[in-house]
Amino acid sequence: MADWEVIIGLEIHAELLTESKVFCGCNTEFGGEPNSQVCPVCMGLPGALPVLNRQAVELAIKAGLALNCTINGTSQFDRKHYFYPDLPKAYQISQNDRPLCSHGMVELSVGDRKRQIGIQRVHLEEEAGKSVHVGDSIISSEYSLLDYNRSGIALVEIVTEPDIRSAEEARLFLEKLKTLLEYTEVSDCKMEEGSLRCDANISLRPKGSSAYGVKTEIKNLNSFRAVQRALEFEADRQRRLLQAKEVVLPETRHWDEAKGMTFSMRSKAKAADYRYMPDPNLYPLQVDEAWIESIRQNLPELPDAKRDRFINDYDLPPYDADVLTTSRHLADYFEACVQEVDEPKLVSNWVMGEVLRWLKAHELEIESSPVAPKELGGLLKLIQEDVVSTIVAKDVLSEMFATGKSAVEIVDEKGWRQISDADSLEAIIDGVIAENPGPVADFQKGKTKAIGFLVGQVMKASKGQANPQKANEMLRQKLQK
Amino acid sequence: MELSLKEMEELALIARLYLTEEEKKILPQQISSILDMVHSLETVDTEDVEPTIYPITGSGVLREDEILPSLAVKDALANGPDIVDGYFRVPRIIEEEYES
Repeated sequence: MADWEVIIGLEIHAELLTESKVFCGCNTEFGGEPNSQVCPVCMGLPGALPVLNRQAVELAIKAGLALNCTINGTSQFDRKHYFYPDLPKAYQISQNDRPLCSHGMVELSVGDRKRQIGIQRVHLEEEAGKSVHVGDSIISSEYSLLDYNRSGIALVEIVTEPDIRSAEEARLFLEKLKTLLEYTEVSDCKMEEGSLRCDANISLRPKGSSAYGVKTEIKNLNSFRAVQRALEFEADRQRRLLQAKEVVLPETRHWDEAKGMTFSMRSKAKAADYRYMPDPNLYPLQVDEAWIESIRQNLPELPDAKRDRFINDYDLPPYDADVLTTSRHLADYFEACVQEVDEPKLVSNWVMGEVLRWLKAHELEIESSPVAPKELGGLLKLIQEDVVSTIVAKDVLSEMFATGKSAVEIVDEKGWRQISDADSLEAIIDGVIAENPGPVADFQKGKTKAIGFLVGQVMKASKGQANPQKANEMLRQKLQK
Repeated sequence: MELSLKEMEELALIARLYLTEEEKKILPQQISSILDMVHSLETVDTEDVEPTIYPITGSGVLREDEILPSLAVKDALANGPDIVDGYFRVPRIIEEEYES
């Protein structure tokens, strides 16, 4: 039986973070009253003329640079024609023959391996309006409601080469891409608001073959997890067809998240013919070297560079550096905290563990954390100075999230200072020894593990406030007498 | 070479043009003669000629990223034949049917 190689290419649309639309001055803010952010240009009224937004060009160039693309000095806008109610002009302004950016590459870590995924192109285009389907689903809708607020928002379309070799790689690529677009503040990449969308092309070929097999295109991928699941399903479906000597049809398939399957979307119409033509309303876009260079100079430190710096400068394990650099805000938070507490690994443990856990529990992003880096620093200093144990510190952090108070305030209010002085500890330890003759005897017979149990009892009796190292030392001293 | 009736109908379909029987008879001939005329360009040697992207030279004007007033909602909806809750209502649009 033949071994099959999976070939995947992705097409990603990302909305650019501009204030106004790409060819008109309408507001791009999400969630406005339907049809309240529209004008003759983005509604395609006769005679209205598009004027390109400089910031949209700048952000698209930024995206291109972050993806290691060549930025083309001259690019061109084309009309892509199709009839659909969300497209009021009956054509979309896009870039076909001459995209703004091309020939890029993204490096990916897949396990221990480095993979390079080619970027065929990054081009500028405009968003379509939004259809709200009335009824249970797209299939049962009797009619649709159209809101053109989204029509004309600036988009980049990013097309990869067919270099992706598994569903997992596809997900990793998207995560990396999202990180890059967020770092560069090109897009907010909110899949739930539709500001990042992805379609996937997938085919199989016998291992060792260089010709491509027949591909299918998968749509309706609403999360990175959906991308991976849909591609796993589709690879499996194609593999079974091919092994049974059946054919894969070149078609568009719709991912059904609930059923966990792809379905054929058989079009009644003929294959699409977009009849691209240069848009006579728009001059070719000229971008000079000085502009590109100034954008390049102002790019922020990108995730790979930041990750390497975290490993080298802070001596963090690669895993920590990976997690901390997944978001620019998270990385900034970590660094601000290290300014306060010069023990990077301690900071890293707390940021990746407790802080992220509480943020998730409170449904907050790191940039709106109620516990600022300085405040977390205050708490970690209390650990370093043995004022609180790690266990108590976790409770303190929980209070900090709930009340917004500082660590010191909470510790003082609650009387949570760690008991390290010998007199106070001795009373507790004597009590624990008296109440646990069995484990005490075990320890004295040489079962050294029993000490752990006894320390645990001391912690319990002190409501977590005893200093565990001290308690351990004192217990040993007493029992070995 | 004359366009076949089938090609003519496909062209009309993708452009959403609805042709009368009369038009279906005369148009293939007319379009073919236009195509023949355009094809004559193929005889010109363009080996060392840069493709023309745009007929006039110059570069476009860029606007700053500033929000300008939009239309009032009632004006935006004024031309719509079927308005529901501030939306334009249109017949079911999906042209595809599903099968597993």
